[in-house]
Amino acid sequence: MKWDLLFRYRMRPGMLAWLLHRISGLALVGYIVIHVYGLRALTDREQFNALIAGYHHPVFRILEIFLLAAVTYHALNGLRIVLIDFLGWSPKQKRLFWTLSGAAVLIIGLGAYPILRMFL
Amino acid sequence: MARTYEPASRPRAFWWFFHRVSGAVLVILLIVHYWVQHYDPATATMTPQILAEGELPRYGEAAQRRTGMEEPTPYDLVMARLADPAYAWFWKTFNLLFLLFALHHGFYGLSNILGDYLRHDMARLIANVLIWILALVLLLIGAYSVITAGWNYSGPAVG
Repeated sequence: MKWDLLFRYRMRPGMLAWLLHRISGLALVGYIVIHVYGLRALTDREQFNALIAGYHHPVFRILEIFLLAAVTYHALNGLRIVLIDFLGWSPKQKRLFWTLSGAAVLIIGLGAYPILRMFL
Repeated sequence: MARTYEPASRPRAFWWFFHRVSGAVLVILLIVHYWVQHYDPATATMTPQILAEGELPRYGEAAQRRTGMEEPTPYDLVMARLADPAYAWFWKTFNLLFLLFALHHGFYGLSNILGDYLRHDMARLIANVLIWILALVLLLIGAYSVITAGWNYSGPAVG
């Protein structure tokens, strides 16, 4: 494997933002495939209840935090891309990256708290 | 090898633009989706409980009032939206739009990523055909599930 490919990138904020956007995007496509496929259960009471009960398993609660993290990052960095492309905010893009990263950490922390509290 | 440059094209410029629009729309749809599924005590099917094997989540008063049941199951909470003639059209439209935007946004992004790493025109074409077939299959599965949900719903299960 050519792992050095990953480290050949110059990791400035813009590149880090781009790489994380790509990785979280791929994860979300994987998730939507599983999610939509699972929704077949919507037509059957027993199957649907079993599906939702299954999602209350500890493993899925932890995965849910990763899902929240991927969605939050992807949404906020997407907002940054829109601001750069449509409103010409490219001079502010680094500051914007750190501001939105702070907001992302806050949202992920707030969302993860009720889930993590259940394990205490 | 792929051509070094492809001629600029209007459809491509449109889809580039639409990717940003669908992303912005998805943020709004996702906030509503999360609120309804995880936070509103009257509608949330996911609770913060950790369940043992074979156990169903226990819902609070708001959910009992909304479904008119002592012990509503996750299915009953969803059916309060998808089987109720007053709300079903709204939530089914919402879900179908959500499905369409999410699948297009996700698979367009995937197509862009694959295009960055696949160097041969034929490899790109094959990858694109395969992923858009997958997207279409998911659209059909999802649309069928959403549209037919609640058609034979008749209140709580007996027993």
